[in-house]
Amino acid sequence: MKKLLVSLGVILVVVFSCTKDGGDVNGISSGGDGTGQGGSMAKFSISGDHLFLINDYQLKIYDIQNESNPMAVGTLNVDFGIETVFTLEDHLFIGSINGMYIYDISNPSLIKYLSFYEHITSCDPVVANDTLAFVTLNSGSACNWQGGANRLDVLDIKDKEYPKLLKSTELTEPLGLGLYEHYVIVCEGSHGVEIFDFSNLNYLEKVGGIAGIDAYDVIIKEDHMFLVGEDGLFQYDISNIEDVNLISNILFE
Amino acid sequence: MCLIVIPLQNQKHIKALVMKNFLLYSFLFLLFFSGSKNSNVMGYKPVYMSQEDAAKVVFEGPRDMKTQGKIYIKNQYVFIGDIGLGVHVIDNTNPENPQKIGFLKIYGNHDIAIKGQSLYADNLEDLVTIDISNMENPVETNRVKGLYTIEVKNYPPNVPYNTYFECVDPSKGIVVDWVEAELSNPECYTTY
Repeated sequence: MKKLLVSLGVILVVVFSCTKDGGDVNGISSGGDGTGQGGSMAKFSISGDHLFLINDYQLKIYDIQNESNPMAVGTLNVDFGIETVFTLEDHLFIGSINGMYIYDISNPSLIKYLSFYEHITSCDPVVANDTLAFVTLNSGSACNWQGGANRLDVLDIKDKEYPKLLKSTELTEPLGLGLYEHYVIVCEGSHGVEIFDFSNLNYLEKVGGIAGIDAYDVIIKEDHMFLVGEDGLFQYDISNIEDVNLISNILFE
Repeated sequence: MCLIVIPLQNQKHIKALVMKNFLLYSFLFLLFFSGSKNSNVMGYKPVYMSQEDAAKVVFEGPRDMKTQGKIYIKNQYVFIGDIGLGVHVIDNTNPENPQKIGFLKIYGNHDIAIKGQSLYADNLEDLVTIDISNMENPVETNRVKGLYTIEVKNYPPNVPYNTYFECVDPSKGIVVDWVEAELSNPECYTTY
């Protein structure tokens, strides 16, 4: 299965690590071995039989083959200000206030540092497919020590030891993000959601969005998008990306 | 005249600022409040809990969101974090009509992940594993202690500055939450 995903390469945009485990495709099953799915702001990520998590400055790895009893496998000192963790296949990405780290996790008990992409001090979740990584930088209250920035960076990660910045787009208040086909969906806090087409990287074209709600993070599962923000939980059918369709909402009091 | 207590922040580098604020507020205090008999004011009160109780993960009925956190999905469930308090559980069997079914109380929580029937969560300083095969009766199966350093919360988070609060008394337990309350002669207020 893993090989198949890799060989599909660019065509198949694998957004979250759990896809690899098969997940629970229809979302309605009463249990089993599946792994759930988190958003881009997560500090926990499960890949196969391992749970990866970050605390203030460390990456910690647990073997969860026996799911009810995590066994410590290792600890890696990363950096202060690490904020998000994302796994895809054999790679793990950490978003920190200083940049993005890439590690090889093909052997979870012997994690290998591959690279660090440094940027201006900002908060920054990461999502990636096989060849591209998307990082949002946000200069919000907790992250504005040196001015910060508000933008979306697209990086070429074909060579994971040498990530290269391909494109940068200024945004207003970027937070969580997710990938769908050749679109990147970016939460913009009180400014809602913006959707960009990245099929032509010379020109990130804005193709749609959602206004009028607060957007913090998204989870995308096939054509279904879960969006959370201060206003509530919103679910959309995104099969028509230029005109996403609200399925339901639960408003927070 | 009542005593002013300035809650000190953790970071050393802003001590100077705190000192500056101290002088400023002392001055303002004298300007506006000297001689006045403090009466009851609205402010925040810490919610104390013993270490033992703060480590209990329990399922309760649905409640309102206090501070929206992260999102996680597994099978028919959507989980939405309430920062520091736990996760709201939503049954999304019918996405057109999702139902709030309850609240999984996990103090000090920010993140969760789930494999099979096991939910992993940060619970104050620990990583706790909860069996959720029966969501209404979560059972702790593992606890890894001391993964996280807990920020000492001796003041209410996310409130405007100059908000009064009841000073924290560590002998009463650990502070797991803050609630709005009428306070008489509060000796602490936020200075940031």
